[in-house]
Order: sequence, then C-alpha cells, then structure tokens
Amino acid sequence: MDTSFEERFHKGLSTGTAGLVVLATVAASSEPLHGYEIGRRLAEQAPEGLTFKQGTLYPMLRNMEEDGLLRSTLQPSPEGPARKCFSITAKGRDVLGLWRHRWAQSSRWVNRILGDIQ
Amino acid sequence: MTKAQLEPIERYLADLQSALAGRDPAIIHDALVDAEIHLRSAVRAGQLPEEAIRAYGSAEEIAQAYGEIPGRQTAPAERRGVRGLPVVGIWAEPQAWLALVYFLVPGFLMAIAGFVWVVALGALSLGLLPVLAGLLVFVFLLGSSRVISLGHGLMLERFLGIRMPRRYQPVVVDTLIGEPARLSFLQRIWAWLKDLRSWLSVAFLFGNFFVVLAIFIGIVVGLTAAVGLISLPFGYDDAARGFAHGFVHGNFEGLEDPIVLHLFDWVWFSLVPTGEIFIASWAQAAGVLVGLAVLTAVLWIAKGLGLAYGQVVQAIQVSRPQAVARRYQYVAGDPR
Repeated sequence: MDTSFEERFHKGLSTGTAGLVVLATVAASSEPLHGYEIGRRLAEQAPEGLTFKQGTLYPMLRNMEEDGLLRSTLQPSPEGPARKCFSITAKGRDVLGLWRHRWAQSSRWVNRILGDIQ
Repeated sequence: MTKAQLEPIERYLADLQSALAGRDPAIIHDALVDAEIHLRSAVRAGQLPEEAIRAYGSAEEIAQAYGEIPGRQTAPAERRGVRGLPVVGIWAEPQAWLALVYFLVPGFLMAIAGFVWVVALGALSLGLLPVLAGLLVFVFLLGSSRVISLGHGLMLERFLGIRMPRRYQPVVVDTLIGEPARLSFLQRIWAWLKDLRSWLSVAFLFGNFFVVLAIFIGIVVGLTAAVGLISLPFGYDDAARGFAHGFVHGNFEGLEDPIVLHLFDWVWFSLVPTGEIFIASWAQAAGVLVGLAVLTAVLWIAKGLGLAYGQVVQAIQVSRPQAVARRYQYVAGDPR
C-alpha cells in the first residue's frame, strides 16, 4: 500500500486537530507550560504510529497568543535562557469549549458513517 | 556535548534557513530561535540530535508551518477614493500618519529612554569598575538592552507595520547543552561579555537616539512650517495681530521706511515701523498651498523614513552575529 495515502490523511487530520489538542493541553495544566513541555506531553499521549511535528507547535502558539487565546510569561530556567510559558485565557477557554463541541459533533458523524460501512 | 552531536543541529538550522528563504526576516529569525532552543532542550533531556530533529519536523514542514504567519502586519492598502489619487493620496494613508506619530511621540520617547539607560548604566559601570561591581552593572546593561530592544521592536511594529522578532537569540551562556551549573561565576560573566548580540543591542540603543533625533527635528521643522503657512489666513487680520504678527512682533523704532516686498508689480508683503504687517490675500492663498505641499511632503517623507527605519531596525534585530556552532564550541571549549 502506498504510504503517501496514509501520510496525506494524517497530515490533513493533524492540521485540523492540532489547535484543539494544543489548547486542551495548556488548559489541562495547572501551571503555565513552555513549548517544549507541551510538545513532550502531546508526543507522550500520541498513539503509536501517529507523530506530531513538534516544530509546528511554536508558530501555532504564537498565533494563539496573538489571537488572545493564550497568554505568555517569561520564566527563568535553571538550564538555559528564560522560557516563554503559556497559559489559557478566558477567551481561550470559550474557544476551546466551542472546538470541543465541534469535535464531538464531527467524531460522532464520522463514527456513524464508518459504523454503517462495517 | 561533542561536535558530532552539534553538527546535525547546525545542519538542520541551515536547512531550515534555506527552506524559509524569501519569508519575512523576523519570521525566519523566530523560526531559527524556536528550533535552536527546542532542539537544545531535547538533547539536554537525553534525546539524540537526529531523534529530536525527526520529532521536530523536516525543514520543509516547519517552513510551511511558519508560512502561515502573516509577515507585515499591515496589508497593502487598497488604492481607492482619495488614496488612489497621485501624490495627495498620502493624506488618506494611515501608514504615513502612524509613522509621523511614531517619530514624534513613542519612537522619540523610547529613543531618549534607551539612550539615557545605556549612558547612565555605562557610566555607572565604568565608575564602579575598580571595585568589580562595575562588571556586574555592565552585564546587567547588556542583558537589559536585549529586552529593551525587543520591546522597542514590538512597539515599532504596531506603528510602522514591520514585523519584529518575538524572541531573542540565546546568549552564549544559554547555549550550554552540558551542565551549565558547572560554569563558574566568572565564566558566566565572560560569556556575557563575549556575546555579540548583546553588544549589538547596546549599540542600537545608543545610535538609535541620534537617528530618531534627526528625524524628529526634520519632521518638527517641516510640520511647523506647514502649519504656519496653512494658518496664515486664520492668524492674519487687518490689525496685523495673531499668528503672522507673532513673527514680526518686536521693536521697530529704528525702522524708518516700511519694508515692502514686490512680486513683479504686486505688493505681497509690507511691514511698517509700527509693527503692522500686510500680506496680500493672493499671497496668503499661495502660502496655504505651499503649506499643504510641505505637509504632503512631510507625510511622504515620514512614510518613507518609517519603512526604511523599520527595515534597518528589523535587520539589526534579526542579525545573528554568532553562529550556533561557534557559540557551542566556545562554551564547550574544544568539543572534540
């Protein structure tokens, strides 16, 4: 089987869901998270065979901050330069709620169709 | 950290830079800094550089992700209505007015603040050098100048619409992949003193003052001349009082004959010994036109200077005076 089919499907799926999982990861944390830590948590929870390109995280975080969904603070790091740590804003929580709702609707719809096929 | 571990990161950053070619320089800068800091953290956490790079994404994938960030904040304005008119269209261009305001208020104030900061801390550090505390003050000046320059850039971006970096290049001491805690206090100070990026920030804050001051003076002179000429009919009356009178008010006792200026056969200006002046209506109208022309020119100049100045500041802020490998080599001594 041509792996490009799988790659293309995965790429499309990731594009649509990356924002949701990033926002949800930041929202689930009780403390602000830096980019590397967000990437690590996402990679840790990713199912086998699915990869999340961690480098795509930073432009996404920057866009979310500029859109007011996240806020950042610089926190000193004992290991190197001060790190930009992100936490979710009230607007971000509203948007996350909206996205979760959309995701629930979409996944129900997809599952229903897939169920019909089986 | 061995050179063998450093080379893949260095190669990856070079690939990423190539893949981002043609993008806004500030975005390229941020993408490189993001990648550098992330990969360093990953290697520090025990990953192999190749593994960390694979998880980070190929240079092409990452370039594509950064490609979704808009470059300039202000999209090219549609040239419709007044804006579409040649020359005077500048009156309706927010970019020109924003540049004018920037150079008159926030840019000018920040230039003064940056200059005072550099000169005051620089002088203090020199004064305290004999007791070594001066060295610490100087390191503080280097570090704070980076932060101030970054903040300056973000303010500039709001007014001039030229994207500025969101992050700064790590300092030499920051690039340690081994155990930074092993660096002695003096080694840390030396690392800061060797950091060209910080020196560049200090030089920027110092030199920026003179550039912005010159622009400020030019704009104020132009604006004053324009406002004076435009307000000529409003300030002038038969009793020769008001704005125009202000220019010639004084002691005219020594003046025996009136000063009369002609243009061909027409008198357009006269000043009598009592201090009263006369400006012909057509001369006032001509003055208004010249004033409007001057104001239009000031707007064009402000817009042009705003773009040029913004691009120079961007180029300074995104410059990477130290290659990654060189910085790593310095910290690690001889990595091989």
